[in-house]
Amino acid sequence: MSLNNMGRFSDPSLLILVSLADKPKHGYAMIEDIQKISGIKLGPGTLYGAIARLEERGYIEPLLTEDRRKPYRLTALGENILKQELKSLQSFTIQGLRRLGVSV
Amino acid sequence: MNGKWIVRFYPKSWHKRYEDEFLAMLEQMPFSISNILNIFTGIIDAYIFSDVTLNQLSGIERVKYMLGKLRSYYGKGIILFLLFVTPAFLFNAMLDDSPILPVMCSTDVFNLAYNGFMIGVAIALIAISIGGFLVLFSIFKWSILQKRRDILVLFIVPVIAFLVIVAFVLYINITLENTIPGWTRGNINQCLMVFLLLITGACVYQIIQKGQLKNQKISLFGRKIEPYKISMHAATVVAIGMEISTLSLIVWGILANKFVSSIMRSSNLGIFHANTLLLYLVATLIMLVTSCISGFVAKRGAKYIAE
Repeated sequence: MSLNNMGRFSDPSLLILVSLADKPKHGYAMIEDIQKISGIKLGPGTLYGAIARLEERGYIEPLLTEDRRKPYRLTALGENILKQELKSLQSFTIQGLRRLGVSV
Repeated sequence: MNGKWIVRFYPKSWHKRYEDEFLAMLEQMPFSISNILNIFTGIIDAYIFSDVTLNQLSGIERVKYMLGKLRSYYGKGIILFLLFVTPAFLFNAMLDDSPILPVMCSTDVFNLAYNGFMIGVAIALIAISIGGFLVLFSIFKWSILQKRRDILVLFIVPVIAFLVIVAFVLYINITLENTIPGWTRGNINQCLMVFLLLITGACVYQIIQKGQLKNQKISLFGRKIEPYKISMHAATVVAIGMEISTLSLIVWGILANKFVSSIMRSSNLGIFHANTLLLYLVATLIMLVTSCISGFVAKRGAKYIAE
């Protein structure tokens, strides 16, 4: 299990999972949060393309609410996937920095 | 930004699931052209790759829904294949006895492109026959159990059409051999073949629409197989065959253009080439579009199989 099989949605999916890591958020809050933490502004079509895929795979789930703006939260499976992805990125980053001669 | 008008372009299942929250999100966003364009790419993606209805179903309902979807993909696949194979046969009929033929036969690379076109069509035909047979066998068994005479009649029609057409072809080619020229007989044969394919395709489409696909294994030659799975893999092979054929035909066209002077030398029918070019362009365009759509349909179908 990983985000690699999501094609062009793998990067937006990772950003969404990271955004939901601290607390549940609805669509617009995710866009703002992702822009704040990464500088990337996800478009509405991209955001919901990734949300549909993450929901389908059971990585995130909607919360029951009366509000039209439906918040989403990470599932246990989503949390595990996020940990795996971040660890793999961390190891990749360390390798890159070492090759550049930067001490880590 | 008010996005009600644009959200209407999303598929129905998407509307049901995400419309409210998506509109609520858009209301908080400022209007921008880049957002509109991004939503349009999302709409195309929703049609091609995602089926959000699956997210809302579980257990038996989910399996039923997926089998229904597979049935619909088989139906779409058959229509696409007919749209593909008809211009392919007509193109092949056009080549019969044409001035292009001698140039093509004497040039290896030109001949290779034509063989690629024929091999692609053959792969697609074999794969659709195997896949179609398994699905139809499964529906046939179900129709007998359910005593669905309306469906069973549809199984007989292509067989009768086949026998009538074979008898007619034999009559033309044997009895009328000296009356009708070979070129005309060849064209009649190709047209009858297309006609038989259309009749068969229409019946198979109706059978798939009316019949039901069950999530069960069938026994064939002493082996238990899951027909819907093999048929969807066959659909992928069909799409690959169609793509091989279309690409070869494009290469063939480029080579035909390269050898045009040799072709003109071996012909005394100047106007013939204008018809040939038009038919070639129309056939290639239809085959290109249908093979691309078939690729997407097979990809979606494979996704349901993976589920």
